[in-house]
Amino acid sequence: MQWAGYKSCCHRTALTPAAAFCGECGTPLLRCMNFSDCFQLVEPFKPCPVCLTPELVVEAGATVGGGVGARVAIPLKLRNQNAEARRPIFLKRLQKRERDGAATDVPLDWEQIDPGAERSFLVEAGPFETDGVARMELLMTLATRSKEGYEEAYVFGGALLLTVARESAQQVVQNIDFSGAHFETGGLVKTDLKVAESAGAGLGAEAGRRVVSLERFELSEVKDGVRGYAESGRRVSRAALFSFRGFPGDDAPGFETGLGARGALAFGRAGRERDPERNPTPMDASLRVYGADGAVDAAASGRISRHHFDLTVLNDRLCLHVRSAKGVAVNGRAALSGAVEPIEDGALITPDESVDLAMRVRFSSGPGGVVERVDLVRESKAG
Amino acid sequence: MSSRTITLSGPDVLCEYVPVDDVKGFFQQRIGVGPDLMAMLIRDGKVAHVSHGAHIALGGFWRGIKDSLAGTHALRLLIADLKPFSATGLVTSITRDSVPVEGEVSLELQVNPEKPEGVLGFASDHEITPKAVMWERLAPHLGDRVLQAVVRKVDALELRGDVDAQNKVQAEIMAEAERVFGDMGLLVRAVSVNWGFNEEELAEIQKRAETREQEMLDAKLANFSREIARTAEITTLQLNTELAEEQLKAANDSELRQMLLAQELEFVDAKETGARTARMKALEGEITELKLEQQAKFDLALGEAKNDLDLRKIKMEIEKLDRETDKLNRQQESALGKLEEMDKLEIASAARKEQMASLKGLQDIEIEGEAARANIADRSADAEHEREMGRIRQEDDARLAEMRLKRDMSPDQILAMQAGLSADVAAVFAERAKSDASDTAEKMALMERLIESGAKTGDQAKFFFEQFKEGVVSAVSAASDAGPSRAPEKTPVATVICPRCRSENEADAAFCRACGAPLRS
Repeated sequence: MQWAGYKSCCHRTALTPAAAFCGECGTPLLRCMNFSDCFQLVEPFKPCPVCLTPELVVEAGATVGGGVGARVAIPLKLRNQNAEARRPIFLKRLQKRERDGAATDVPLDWEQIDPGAERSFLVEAGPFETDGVARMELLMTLATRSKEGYEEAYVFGGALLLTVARESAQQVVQNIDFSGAHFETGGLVKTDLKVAESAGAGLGAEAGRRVVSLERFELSEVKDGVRGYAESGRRVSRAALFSFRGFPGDDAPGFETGLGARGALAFGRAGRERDPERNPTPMDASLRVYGADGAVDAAASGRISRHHFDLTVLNDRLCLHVRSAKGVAVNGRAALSGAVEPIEDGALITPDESVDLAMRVRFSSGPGGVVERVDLVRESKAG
Repeated sequence: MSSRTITLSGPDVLCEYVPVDDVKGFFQQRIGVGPDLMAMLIRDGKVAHVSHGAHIALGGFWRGIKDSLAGTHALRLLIADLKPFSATGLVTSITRDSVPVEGEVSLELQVNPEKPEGVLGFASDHEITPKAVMWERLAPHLGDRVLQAVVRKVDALELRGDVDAQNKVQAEIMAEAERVFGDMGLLVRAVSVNWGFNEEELAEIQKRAETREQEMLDAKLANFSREIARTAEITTLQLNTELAEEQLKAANDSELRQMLLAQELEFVDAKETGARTARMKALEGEITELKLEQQAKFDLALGEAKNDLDLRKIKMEIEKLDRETDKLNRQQESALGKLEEMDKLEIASAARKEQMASLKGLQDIEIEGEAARANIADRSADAEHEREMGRIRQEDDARLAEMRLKRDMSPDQILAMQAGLSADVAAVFAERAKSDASDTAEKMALMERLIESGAKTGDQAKFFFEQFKEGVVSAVSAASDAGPSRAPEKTPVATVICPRCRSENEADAAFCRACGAPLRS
């Protein structure tokens, strides 16, 4: 599905809490998980433009260069630019990469940056092997968290250009004299060594704060497992459509649906029709056990919570959020209440081990490994 | 007749007498003399025969008879070397600067073949006359008159190079030798004088030798100094190279080439220099070109890097401004959206009121059509059941209403109640009720038909009633002036039901806000 982007009508419609689609243009409304703070819509694979706005700066007076063989420690500051969103950002991981080598971790003792605040850290560079301009890349895994505890992480990168002068601001100049006047000594070639001051002396000091341009490293996100599925390279779109198969009657929508206004699909014993008194939180799909006569098996269905779990998309992965105190089994492995477990293609979700009811998850990938359709197939626990 | 060859007894012999007494035998003997020798036969004190390169017959029976008859003859045979020979001797003199000089005089002499008897003048009676005797005869005559007269006029250091003096000395010696040896039958062919090194020359030679030695030592010292300097320089380079391993790893081609050349210097000394000179000159040119090229590349890269840095700075400034602008835009947009939403919410009721009038007819048709399609597609069985239940309920309600009408209500009130199905019908029936208040039977029949009609389209009528009951009741109340007076409640909002998910949407929505399904074809 080609993402067309939001229009002004979409932002107006998004203010209506129950709206999952724009009533004027039909665009899915993918709200930021902190929508109540930032009122922003997000695109299928992009971060919130308000909640995650880091700024990396090199402090004034920092030494951003040195001589050949030297090591320098560069003082940097990471700033959470957006004070309006009132949400902190978290630096989950910091890596540096020099001379096209492997990225190495830079240990940090903090991770949270409050809105409008900035945190300082040092990154060591060198020893430099050659003179000229050296490049050092910084890779930062930054995350935002919602009030529900969801976390969306992204990898941002920025390059620092370091000026490397010749060693100790001096260079050995060797003059080789091949002229015949010196051959009276038996063909000796005369060489003179001189030490001269380099023109590069004094380079490398920052006059003022310098902002380092940060870019999103989406390939590193997938490769490092920050977003998407590292092994298969797949990424689940926030705008993915879910189809329900094998659900009896009105237990599930008979059409493809998105994640809805909540950004999640609710599964549980409760019905789908909203009733202010009897069913204030209707499910997107009802998980009920039916007897051989087609009637609801109340005893078996009772072992499933009214709101048992949610399916949502976090970090380009389909995730299961366990709402029930009874927990959920994913591929036979128990997920406790409150856990957020990533769901992979072919996973079998079993709400209760004692109930013969399970749901199989199938991905349909499009170009570039983008999962735009998820089939939820109800089947018996035995498969 | 026997024959034998006679020659001189040694190479240093000029002439000698050969004994001939042993030739007095029966047979005559022939004595042969080589062509380079002169043979002089002296018989009885007189030269009997002189020849060179001849045979001389001596003795024999006939000679014996002859000698016995006429007496014995005294025979002597003198042979002399006719080849030129050298006679050398030393002479001394004193130069003008009082330096004794010594020279070797060499004379080229030869027995004059034209005057062979002259040999007798220097032939010794002791049978052998050596060649050296000639110099002994001459030496006393080369005294002050010949040498000293010339040498005394020349300095010691100039004697050797003074050609005139040399020629004069040579000529004087030759004239004196001819004077001495001319009467002896000797020819003086050449005279030469080789001066030995005198004291001045030796001193000069010694001085020059010492000077050369000093120069050699100086040269050696200079070479040694250069060697030490070169060794020190190479050592410094090697130490620097070892200390700067990182620099060596990082050195570019030009620097590496220089370092390699420097390390090769130790071997260059012992190797041939010709080919290496050419190669080194070529390398020098190559190094110069590489250096210039590297410098140019470095300058270019440095310029680009500076440009890139400047561009990046400018770009970052622009991006920062863009971000700030976007941020402000978002804030403004968010605030504007909120304001618009608030404005929209505030004017929504008024706008919808205005839209209601124009959309009412269209909505009636759309709502009836959507409801009918929903009933047909989704809830056919339930709808049938509900319609049946609705019909029964309507019939019950109709009967109840009939009973109530019959019991309590006036004809106008009955009309007003039934007019809830349609404003127009309500108006008509209100008027008709006013005009035909007395016609109860006809009124009741009409009510029954309306109820029956409402039962057939129960859902539509119900929805219609819910949507417009306020307006209809008001209209009926205004028309009849007999119905119950009701205060207006909240603002009515027109909605449509999504045929797919059955959620309510605003009447002007193009898509369902719950499932995204299009609501308009």
